[in-house]
Amino acid sequence: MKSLFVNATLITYLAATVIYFLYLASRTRLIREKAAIVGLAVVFVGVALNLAAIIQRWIVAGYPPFSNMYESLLLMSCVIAASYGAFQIFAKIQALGGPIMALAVLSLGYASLFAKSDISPLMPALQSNWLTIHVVTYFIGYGALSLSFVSALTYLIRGKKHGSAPDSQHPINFEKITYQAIKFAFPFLTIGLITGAVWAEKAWGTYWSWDPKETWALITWLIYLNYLHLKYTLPSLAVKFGWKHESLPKIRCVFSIIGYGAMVFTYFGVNYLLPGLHSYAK
Amino acid sequence: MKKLLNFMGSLKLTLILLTIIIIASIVGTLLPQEDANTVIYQSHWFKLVLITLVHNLAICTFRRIKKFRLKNVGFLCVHLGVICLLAGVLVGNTWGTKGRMVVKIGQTTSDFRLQDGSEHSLPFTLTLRKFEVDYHDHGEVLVAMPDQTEPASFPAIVGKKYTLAPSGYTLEILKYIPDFCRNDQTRTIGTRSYKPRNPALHVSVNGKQKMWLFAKHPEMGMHGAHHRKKQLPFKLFYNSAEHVKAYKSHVTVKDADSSPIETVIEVNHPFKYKGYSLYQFSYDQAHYRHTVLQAVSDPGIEIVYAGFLLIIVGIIFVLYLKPVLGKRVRKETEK
Repeated sequence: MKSLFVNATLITYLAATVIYFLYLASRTRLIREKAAIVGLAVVFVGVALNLAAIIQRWIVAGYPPFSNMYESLLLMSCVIAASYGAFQIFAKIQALGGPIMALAVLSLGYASLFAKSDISPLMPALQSNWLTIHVVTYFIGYGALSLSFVSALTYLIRGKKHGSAPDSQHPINFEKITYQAIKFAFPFLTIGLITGAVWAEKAWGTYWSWDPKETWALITWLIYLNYLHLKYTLPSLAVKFGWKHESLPKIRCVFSIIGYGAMVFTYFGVNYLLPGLHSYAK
Repeated sequence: MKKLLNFMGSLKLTLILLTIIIIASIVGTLLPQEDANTVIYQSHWFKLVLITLVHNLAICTFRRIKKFRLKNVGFLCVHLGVICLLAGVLVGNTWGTKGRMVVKIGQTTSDFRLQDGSEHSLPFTLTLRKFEVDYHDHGEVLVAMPDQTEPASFPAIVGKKYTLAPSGYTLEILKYIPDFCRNDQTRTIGTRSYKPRNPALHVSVNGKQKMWLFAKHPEMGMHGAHHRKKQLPFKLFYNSAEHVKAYKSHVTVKDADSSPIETVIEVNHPFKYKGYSLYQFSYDQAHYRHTVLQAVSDPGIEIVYAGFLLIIVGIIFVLYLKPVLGKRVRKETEK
């Protein structure tokens, strides 16, 4: 079942992507200012349409639509766009708008073109309120991590000096945005991981069974935990090994990209390469 | 000695241990589950890594407690949470039991088998009165119209009535039989077993034309006696890919102290009694004649849950509340 809301969301996200790339391409201050405001408005319209698509599917299916790849990608595009929109309210990160909205388009486009959209009733293990709590908390975290990934990548490619506008008095430090996004996401990852364990205990009597999906979720969590500790450990390591102080933010960005790679593998890779208890998620 | 103690409580050691756990976990997911358990997760060296981590966190936490400040509350919560979690796991592994109970319908037993093959007994007896599988539906009825490329699909739910647009015909699902058989002498229809070996669906079109649709013999239903009465403008097929709703073990629990308890054990709905939890784990997929329950006694579970709670509260404090509180304190100091 594919809804009109999904197509409308896809078009809106595409429009936002184009607007933000125009922002990057433009050298006129007025156009850039307008593009940043219009882009944000279009993002929020897209998020509203995306939410409508999720709610419509929830009503038609009669269960929370978070049980297969199509449904989770629908949620993924929503949280990517929503976390970007929320961050842009607090920081002038419109330079990230193009790539991050392209990621939302990619997620929704993949869902529309390749994922099975059939509605089929929930299997017994998924008939639990923990499904909504576990998946939604995880995906709020995934949305912010997607922002951290794009931000880290931008920092590595364009460097510290690339701000929200070339003529800006206060250029944005994307390494700091990466850190803030991960700081926001980490509690959600933690709650997601723990609610998964509690749910497994309620369903099967085992809160941890080293199933590939849960193991990779733990690996992702540990990588980000290490990342958050880097601000305490890296300076002393830099002194010991003679690393330049300027290279430390780059190391942190590389670390965050490795974390995002682990997150993507937990989300997609494990379903196809390492079957286990979560094999329904294909 | 002081150097060693410093290293044992250092952040450097924490990160080394976490990196070892990350690498071991990655390798573990590449191995078959049984091998991964033996070589890594249940191995002595991996337990040693976890114990060292607890030790490391304990020293680190003890140092912070000695120099207690309000801003360290979150940090202490997270560290105590991890210590609680790993201590709970240790308590569960040392004093807990976990095993499988295979119970036939009508059988009364208290025995279950642990993973190492040894037998163990529950402090009560359990009788399996009935085992049943509930379905959301029994698959789908496909209606193929001559002018449509894709057949229309309707869930095969007994008692449901559908209108077939645009013809206006009605389709009613009357009965489902998992393993269809007909007694030629008595001319009665029944099932050989509960397993869907020959699934069949009795349907009625417009309340008049009744017919059987067979998932494995699609041609039979369409050539039934009733069907010849009037040619339908579409073809009906039955796809029996069913969707299971619930596995239900109806059990009676008895012990010397109290009157019998009748309950139903399902996935996500365990039964807890006298320190044991019983979970619906598996069943006899061939004949539905027995159920498999998982019996768990875990005295460490409350400690694990306390650990979970402390970790969540601590992380929220460290990452969300502490920066806000820090800003306020700085503002007040500036004033």
